[in-house]
Amino acid sequence: MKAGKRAFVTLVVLAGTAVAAVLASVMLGSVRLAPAEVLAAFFGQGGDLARTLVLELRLPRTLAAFATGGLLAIAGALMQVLLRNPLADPYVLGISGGAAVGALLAMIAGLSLGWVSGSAFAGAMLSTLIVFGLAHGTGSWTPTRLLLTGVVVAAGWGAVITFLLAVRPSPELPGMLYWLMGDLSQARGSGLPWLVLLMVVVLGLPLGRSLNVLARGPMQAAVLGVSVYRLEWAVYLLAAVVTAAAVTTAGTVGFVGLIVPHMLRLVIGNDQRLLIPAAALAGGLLLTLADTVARTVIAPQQLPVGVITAMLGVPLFLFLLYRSRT
Amino acid sequence: MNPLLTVEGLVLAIPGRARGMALDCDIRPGECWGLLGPNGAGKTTLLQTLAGLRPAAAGRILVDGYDLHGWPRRRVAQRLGLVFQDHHDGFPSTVLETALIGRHPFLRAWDVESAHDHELAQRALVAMDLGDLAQRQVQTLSGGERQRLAIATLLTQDPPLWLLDEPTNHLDLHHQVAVLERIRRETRERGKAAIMALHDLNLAATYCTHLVLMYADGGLCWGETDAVFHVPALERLFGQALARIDTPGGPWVRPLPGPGC
Repeated sequence: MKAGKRAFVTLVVLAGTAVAAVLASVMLGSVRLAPAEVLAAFFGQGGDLARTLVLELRLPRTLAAFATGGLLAIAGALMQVLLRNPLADPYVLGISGGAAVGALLAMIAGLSLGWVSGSAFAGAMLSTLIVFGLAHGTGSWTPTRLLLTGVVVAAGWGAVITFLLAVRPSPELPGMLYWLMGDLSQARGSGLPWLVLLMVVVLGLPLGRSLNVLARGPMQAAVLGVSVYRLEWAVYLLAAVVTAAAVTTAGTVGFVGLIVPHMLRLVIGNDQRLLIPAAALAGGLLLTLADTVARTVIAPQQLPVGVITAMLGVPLFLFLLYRSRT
Repeated sequence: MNPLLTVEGLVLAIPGRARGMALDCDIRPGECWGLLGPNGAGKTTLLQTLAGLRPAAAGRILVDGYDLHGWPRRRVAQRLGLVFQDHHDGFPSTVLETALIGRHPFLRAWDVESAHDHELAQRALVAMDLGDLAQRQVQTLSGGERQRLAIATLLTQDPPLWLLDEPTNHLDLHHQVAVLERIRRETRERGKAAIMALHDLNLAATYCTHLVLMYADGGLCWGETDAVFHVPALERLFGQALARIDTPGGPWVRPLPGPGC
């Protein structure tokens, strides 16, 4: 079928570009490697230096960047459908902030990575409940009310983070600050973000058509057979899990969830069954490239990747806000 | 014939208003019910309550003899459809995609729309004179075209019971008649039943087999069109003086300056 073929082509093109971006990210850095050296290292051949650089330093970081980007893009796409608002994003709405506070508390308590992830999820879910509960109120969600609630809650989480760091100074403080701004230099090979990414993409396929109907409003969706209440809660939960996994990996990287779904909708439309896998690939691609820039542009100094995504995301956000004026 | 919809002692829940009268009626295949009343009388609330989208203050709604309350939404959507008064298009979408969502209640989670589903949607678009606009973005449609698309989505869904909230909204004269003719044909020839809120009394008198007059104070009056379509009752309903004109197709009314009796 025509639509099916177009979806296939879109995903293949995105996947190809993503593989190329991963390869480029692994090649670039303080020591430049040729593609042949990278491929040799993948297969356990070549020099020791190249092998260490590729397999132990660059590839784990690149893969973490890719998974984080995919997760954030999907979290954004899900929240946008839920709120029927293209400005929704886990960072802007303070969900990432809640996850960061959760993760930071667990880190300060010296808990293991599993607890850090769980605590980040609790923080993300709490923040989701606060923002969506308050913004919903008795009436419906208006964009202004929602964004305002999100921004204020995000500011609140920021203050909590500053407080925690101030009362609990540690030698790792600079590292933590970097992490909070969204940084992948600490990210090391963990399967968790990839696992969550895979799970949400697979779940997105059977949920996709219901989400398409939900995007047309809860009443319309209910009339067409969607159990709106159940679906909305499932999506809340999914978005919180996805955000928490991303924040545990790379801190609060902003705006990926805003940029990627917006760009994709312009090209492929709003069918969630295509948009979600495409967001996984395009989000991964974006954050891989952004992190490559972040660690090479002022080398040997490194930037937190959140700086790069904010430089892209803030103008886009303002543009969308300007355009949505009525 | 068994009723498609049975309404037993239904009292609408309208915030800030005292309890209205209870509605009791059977809606059978082939019937077309018109809801008439001034703004705010509760026509939209009634339609949404019948669709199970709002709780009622009292009473029961039976579809095919079973209580609607507690049905899964998917099963409800296979039995009845509702065309809303307003249409919200938050995200970009094509005309064809919008008609295709009418098939949602009949597809399972992993199903992809088949060629048959596409054909049903395309046929519905053609029936609503939108065949050439299938690939257009919904946001670029005019008000009337958007309204016809909402009806095309219902045609794609094709449930036995049709609820329509002002289906002739934004439509030009020709399309008003075309839509109402279509509804009449579906009820007469395919055993559908329709309930629709209307503002045009003469169209209601022409196309509806039954009427429900919904008064602003919560009062109700319902029955077959011939029995209910009376000038004094209509004057009181709208607070508007009316003159009766007898036409070969039945009585019509024309508004006169001044309030009703």
